Amino acid sequence: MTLNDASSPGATPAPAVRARGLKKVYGEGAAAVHALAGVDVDFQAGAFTAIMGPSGSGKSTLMHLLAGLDSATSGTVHLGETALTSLGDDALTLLRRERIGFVFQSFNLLPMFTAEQNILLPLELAGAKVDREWFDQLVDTLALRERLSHRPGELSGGQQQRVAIARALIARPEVVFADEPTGNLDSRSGAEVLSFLRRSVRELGRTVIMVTHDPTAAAYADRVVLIADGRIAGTIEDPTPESVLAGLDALRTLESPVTQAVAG
Amino acid sequence: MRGFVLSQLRRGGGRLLAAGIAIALGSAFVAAALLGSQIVRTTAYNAVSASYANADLVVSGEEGPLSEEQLASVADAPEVEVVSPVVQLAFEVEHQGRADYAWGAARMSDPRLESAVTTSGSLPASDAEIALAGDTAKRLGLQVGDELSIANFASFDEEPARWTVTLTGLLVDPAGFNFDSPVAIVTDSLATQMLEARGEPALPWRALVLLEDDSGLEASRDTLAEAIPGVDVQTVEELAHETVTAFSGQTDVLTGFVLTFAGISLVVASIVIANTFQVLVAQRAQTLALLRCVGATRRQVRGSVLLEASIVGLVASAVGLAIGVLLAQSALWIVPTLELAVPVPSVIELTPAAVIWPIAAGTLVTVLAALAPARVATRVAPLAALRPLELQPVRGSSKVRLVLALLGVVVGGGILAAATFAALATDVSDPSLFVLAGIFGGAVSITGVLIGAVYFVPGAARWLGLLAHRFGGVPGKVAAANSVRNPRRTTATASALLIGAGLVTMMSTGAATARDSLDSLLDENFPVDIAVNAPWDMNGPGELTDAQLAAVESTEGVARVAPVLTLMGTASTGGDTWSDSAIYTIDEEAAQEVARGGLTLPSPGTIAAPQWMDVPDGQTISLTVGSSTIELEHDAEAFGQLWLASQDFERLGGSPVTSSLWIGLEPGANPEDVVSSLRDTLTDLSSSAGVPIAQVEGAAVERAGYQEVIDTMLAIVIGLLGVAVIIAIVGVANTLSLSVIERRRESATLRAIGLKRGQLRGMLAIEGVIIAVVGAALGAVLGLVYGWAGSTLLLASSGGLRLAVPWRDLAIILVVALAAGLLASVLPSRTATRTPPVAALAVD
Repeated sequence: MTLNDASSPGATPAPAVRARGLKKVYGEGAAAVHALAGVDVDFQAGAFTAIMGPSGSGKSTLMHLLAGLDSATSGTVHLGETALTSLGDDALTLLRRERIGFVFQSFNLLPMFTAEQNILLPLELAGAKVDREWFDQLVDTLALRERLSHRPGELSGGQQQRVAIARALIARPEVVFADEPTGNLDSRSGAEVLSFLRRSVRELGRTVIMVTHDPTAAAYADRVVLIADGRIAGTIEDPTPESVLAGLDALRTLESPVTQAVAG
Repeated sequence: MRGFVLSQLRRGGGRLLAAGIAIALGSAFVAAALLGSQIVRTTAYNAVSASYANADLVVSGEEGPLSEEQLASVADAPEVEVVSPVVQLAFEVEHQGRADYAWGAARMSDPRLESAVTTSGSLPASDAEIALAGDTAKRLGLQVGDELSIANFASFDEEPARWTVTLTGLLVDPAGFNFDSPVAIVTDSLATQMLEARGEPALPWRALVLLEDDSGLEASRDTLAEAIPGVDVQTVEELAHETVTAFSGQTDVLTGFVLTFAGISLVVASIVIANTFQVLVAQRAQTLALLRCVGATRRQVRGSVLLEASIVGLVASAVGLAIGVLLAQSALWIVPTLELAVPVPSVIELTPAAVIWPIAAGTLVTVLAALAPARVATRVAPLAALRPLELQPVRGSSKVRLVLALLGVVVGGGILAAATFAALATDVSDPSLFVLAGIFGGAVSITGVLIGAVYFVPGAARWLGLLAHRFGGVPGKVAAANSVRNPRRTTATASALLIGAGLVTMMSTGAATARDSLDSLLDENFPVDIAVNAPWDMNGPGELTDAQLAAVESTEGVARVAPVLTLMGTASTGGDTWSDSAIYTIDEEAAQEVARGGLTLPSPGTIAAPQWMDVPDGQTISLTVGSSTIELEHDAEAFGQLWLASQDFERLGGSPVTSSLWIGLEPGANPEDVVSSLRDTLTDLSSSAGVPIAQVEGAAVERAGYQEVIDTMLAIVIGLLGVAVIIAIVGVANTLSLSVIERRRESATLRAIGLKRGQLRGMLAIEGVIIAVVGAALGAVLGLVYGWAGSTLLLASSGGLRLAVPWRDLAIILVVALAAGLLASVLPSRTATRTPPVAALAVD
């Protein structure tokens, strides 16, 4: 396995999400914090990518910008052919509704709706018809059949997160962003959720971008993008927990971004 | 603990804003009511003291009027400089056929004791002169310099004593407080002449005294009272105080009435406050638990909530007091510009009561409302600090609540229903016992309804939510679900509006029922909307002239006129004889055309005798006019008092006169307008042609009279309830904005997965509308029921009860509720849409 410059993806199909020269500055003048200091990165369609980095590295900010949840100070983000950075709030909302799915650390299900209602919410927002076949496939894959009429309060954390994954996938979005999806789960449920995310990529052909600080979680991905001090520090293809840890260690010990291959 | 409270207040001050507004409005209401009553009192005091001019003392007879000797003794007393009797009398003033009653007074013997003030001209100097109040002069068409006649009242067969006088001056119109303020001033000797012509002694009840030296006012009073037997001596200040105190009884009732509504506003405000503190405590559960972990006792936790409530209550009530003061002072600034002759003070008087009560009431209500949330705060376990805070489980309603609610509804409702049916079934003239029982039952049952609101308000909201769910898309679905997520809070918020809307509906149902019932009574008593009657003279019904007939016929809105003919004759039956009785007829066909319908006139051969003749149905009555006599059979079902068919009337011969006209209106004409133009026409005709003014009567006239009274009273009551309704709307906004704060992450999640800003706004608007409409609709239904019960209790005894539904007002209430729900969501949805979708990712 190799650690490559993330901006040179090689001969692969068109990326699902592409960022160029992405900068995000909070505050002004002396108090300015450069959360992202110029990021160029591509995320392949049909792949499971993890964004990793230590706390304050800018990984969450990067995801917010990629998902159109926040606006960049400069630089561009493309989802497929659409430039997110030029869109207004309503257009962004529609884009999130139709082309992006979200999985949150705190699940964020609506407590007054049943699991099924929660799953179908994005379709209702879009006024789209429910594709029953796809719904059944999701529900069976995520083993939620027995839980559809339950409200979030009656579900375990793992079950809630599976419902959230189903909600994120129901509209067949081009890309699903998962923000520390296992952060609130015990390790067994976490492992379950991660394998579901991986299955949704391998078996259902989805694109998933996950932010995590957990090397074990990152190891479920096809590729890990390392980020440090607001810059891309490198990538790890076909990661294992050990190789991710090693990459992270390299980040801590090296002052400059990791650019050469690290033994795996 | 104090530091903790203050820091919480600093952090969450904004969340207390709505509660603060609610309490400030309530205490402003209390302050305005108290200050208002103080203004009325001061004004009355000023008005009373003004009527004694510069007098030092007032002397009055202990029993009856002052005698000549007593007056002489007063005048002879060494302390007294001048004494002047107060001579007052009522008489008739007349000018070119227009007459008016006048409450007159004689001039005082010394100008310093004269309280009458002229706006133009001067006070009368001779017995052939008079000064009149501006209004009175205007009504009679008089100008300074004109001649008029004044007359004593006299009995029927006597020509009254009459004097011709010249108008020399116009007096300031007495307005607002009529403490014997005269509208006519004559000289002392003319007043004496008039009184003597009546055979009454010209003895005054009171005399005003100017002292040589007014420094020892009380001492001189006591000396005079001791020196002259049989007189009361009072200082002007004492007398004014006494008069105002007697008058205050009425103002106190009025103040109590207004304060009742202030109380309702405070109750509604307390619901808003309780809601706010419940949410605050829930949001702070973790902080409170932490405090408990580090050693705060339950008592300290409860104390912290109550301390916070007292601070909020105190600050908000102080603001409310300031608002009330400002309102009252603005009124004082505005009233003088209305040019009323009411001597209002220029600055409000801040009595201790007017300062203390609003603040005390506001603070107390706030603390009381925070008691239950404070109790909840003490139940937060220290352990809660260590657990991630999940949604507060909503506590199920206790059995005690259910039992209390049912008890209240069943017992109170039973008493109210029993009282209502008793009032309907029995035929008592004084229903006050039933009314009292009804009020008691009503109060108990409405308390039960409010206690039990949590059992039916969420259900109603859910039902209404079905509509939103069906037609509102995702925003509608979420709003419908959100509106019943916290049943207690929704119930409390809707209840606040329920109280307001319920009372408004009750009042307007009562007004509508009173209106309809009075209409039905009028329909029974008046066959036509409008009738023009010639005034009776000593010989019986007067005669309408051809000119009057023509004038009436040509009045706008009058389509047809049916004349009523009258003869004077003698009626006798069963040994009784009534001479000089008026006998009437009207052309049957014309009458039916102008009458409202359902009018039964006597058929040929029958007569309708008045009830007081007490003639059994079917008995024969003989009528004699001059030499002709006819016999007719009494028909108890027919209309009128000694009315008969025209054929029979003709058989009597004689010379009938047209004594009145029944008037048929053009379709679409407004009866009230026609009445007023008829009155103008007939008054003008009477002054130009010198005939007595014909009177305009009938259902339309009566209706216009009471309709105005009912409408005015309803407007006042609804205005007073308006404050409570506004507070309730603030409450809806409060609940929405607290929910917005609580559901920050949810809103952000919805935004993240594709809910537009506009949809989020719409979602809150729908939620606001659901809560507001549920409250208003339930209030309207309850108000209707209580309104019916109340009107039945009050009106059943007077007959003609007709329960009405004030459809227009109900529609207005629903529209207002709809608008209120939308309005209440404006500010909360601003906060909500400011939440960035990124907040969904936040972990708390």
